[in-house]
Amino acid sequence: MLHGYCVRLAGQPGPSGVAGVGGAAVELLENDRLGIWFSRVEVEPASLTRLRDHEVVVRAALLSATPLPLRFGSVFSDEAELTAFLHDGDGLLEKFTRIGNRVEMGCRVSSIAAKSNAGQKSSGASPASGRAYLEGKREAMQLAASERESAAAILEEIERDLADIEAEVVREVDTSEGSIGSMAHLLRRRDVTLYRSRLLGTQQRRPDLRITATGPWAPYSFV
Amino acid sequence: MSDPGLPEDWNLELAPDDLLLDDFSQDPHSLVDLVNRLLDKGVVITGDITISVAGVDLVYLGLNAVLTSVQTARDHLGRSLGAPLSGG
Repeated sequence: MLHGYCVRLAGQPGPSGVAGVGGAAVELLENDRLGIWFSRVEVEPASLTRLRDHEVVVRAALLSATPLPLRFGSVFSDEAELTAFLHDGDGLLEKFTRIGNRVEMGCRVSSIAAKSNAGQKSSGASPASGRAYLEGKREAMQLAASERESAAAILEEIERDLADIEAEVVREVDTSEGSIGSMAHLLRRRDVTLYRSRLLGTQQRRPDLRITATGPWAPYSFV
Repeated sequence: MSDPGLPEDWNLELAPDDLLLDDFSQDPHSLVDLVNRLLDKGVVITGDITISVAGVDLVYLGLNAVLTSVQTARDHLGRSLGAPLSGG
């Protein structure tokens, strides 16, 4: 089978000097509009090693021009299927127009303080009655809603520190296991350093949080 | 210098070092970001996929459907993604 990594505009540099999943060679199939980077593989197991292998290839493409990353595990039976995929590529061309040559940066936020209380509530003694059970449920739901509101407010606060960077944003609130949430930003390449610098400043101002910047990524969250 | 035929932001301003993978073994946050993006985001094509973890098929479905998320994977696996899924 053929393991797909990413789609490129035709005429952009092909894979060179990069190994794919399991050390497989990375090849290019191109028509007059689009190209796809792929490897010939025997099996398609998921492992952290193969995820890393996949990402190394996508980032190699990202170095010269922003590709459209395929979800890991996108496989094709043969080159005819790849050719058909590229042939029906109008939607992909629209994505290229929207994305341009921007890159995605990630920002993951968690709390240094104790983990969420929401899960701990449920570990207490059994309720004495049905009413007590329902009241306990209502309290847990109210607490969870309150935590989500607080988390959203923190993400908005961080977002304000990035306000002068022109970017599309995707926010995800996640209050499980001490997490607060994450954001993905699609920004110009020249703003990557500024983005990191801004988040470092936010981290210094908010030592109660753990703020991690990741990337640059291909625009996974925007395609 | 930018190619005059390309958009203004097309000019590459990333150095190869900017694209080094984060140290996933040292930073669970980066690991979560990697898994979340590669398994739950990106262009979805029409086709079939098998994702297996430690030799066990985890997901087999058409790619028109959502595969999984980190949290779902955690729930199913009952363990932290800070540990390797398998040796690859």
